Amino acid sequence: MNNQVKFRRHADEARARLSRALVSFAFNVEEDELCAATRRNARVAFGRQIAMYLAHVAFELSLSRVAFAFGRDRTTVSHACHLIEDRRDDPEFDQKLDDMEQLLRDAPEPAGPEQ
Amino acid sequence: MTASERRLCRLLEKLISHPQVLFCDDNGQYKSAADAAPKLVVPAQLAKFAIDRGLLRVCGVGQVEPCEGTKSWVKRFKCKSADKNSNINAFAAQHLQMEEREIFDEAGEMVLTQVNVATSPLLRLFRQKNELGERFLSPVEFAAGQKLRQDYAASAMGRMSCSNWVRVGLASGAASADSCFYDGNAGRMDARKRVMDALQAVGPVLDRVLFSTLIREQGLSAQEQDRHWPKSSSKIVLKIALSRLADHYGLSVSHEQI
Repeated sequence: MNNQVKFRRHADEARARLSRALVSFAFNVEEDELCAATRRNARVAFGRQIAMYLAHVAFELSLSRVAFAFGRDRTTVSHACHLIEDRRDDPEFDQKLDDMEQLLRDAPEPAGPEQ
Repeated sequence: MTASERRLCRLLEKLISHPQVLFCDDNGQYKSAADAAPKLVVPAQLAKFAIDRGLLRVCGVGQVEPCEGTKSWVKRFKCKSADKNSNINAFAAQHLQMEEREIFDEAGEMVLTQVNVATSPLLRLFRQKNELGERFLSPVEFAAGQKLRQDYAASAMGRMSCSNWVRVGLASGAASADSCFYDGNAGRMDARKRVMDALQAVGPVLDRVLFSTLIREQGLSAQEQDRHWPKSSSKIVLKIALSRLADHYGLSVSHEQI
């Protein structure tokens, strides 16, 4: 793996961590649960879907890159994005996601991996 | 229909409700001006998609704004996404007002289906609500009116019957039990009898109001002028007629039991 890819993956994982941390803050879901390899309960799964959606939308990552960063399948991320887009018909939820999206856009670039 | 299209639809909808010029930044994204509200960010790929399809108009170097095509695309897209299973073309669907309604099916049972609200005068009246959100017609009265319309349509009294091609290919004189069903005459006669019974049960003046409104689809104000009634009075008369019709069909009793 060349250094460029290594750096990109490291940055994606850092962005995913930030996205999960923000969802954990805004929706009161344990961050460890969001990282879990299994689904957990519906609330956690929904939080994880929001985190994946935000990573895709706010950081402009492709579905494959989001999938790699979250340790999920590409189609899982696609499903999450569809689901959250449908939920955004609710104005209150839409506003909340708008704010979170803006917050992530304003975040600084992640640092590179330790040499 | 992808999540990206949904996202674009949402962004364009906000852009239509708050018209503003979006400015291109270094990354190819189109963003609102610093003092604009709400703040919108259209990613580079979505912006390119929208500009290519005429959903956003380029109005200067690195500047885009919504145009006439934007609103109609959003409208079409929302019609399409509202009912994914519908086989109605999005261009046609934008001119329809599809809503869910309970209707009587052929077996006489109430079923939920999608109907075009803009077609029936009774549907238009049923949709109207007052300031408190209450409907003028009750669902039972509406259902009774629809049943009369269906019976009238089934009775074929309203149209000239042309050549009947249903029995072509059947052996002559093969009057089985099925042929009666295929012929449809018995069904028509039954429907006709139901219509006549219903109109008789409603009473002398009310049956004319029902006939004019539901079957001839004459406007209520036109009826008032014809009969020299005071303004807005025929609406009340129609309500009384429909409730009596619902009694005749036995709908109001079943509704109370529920």
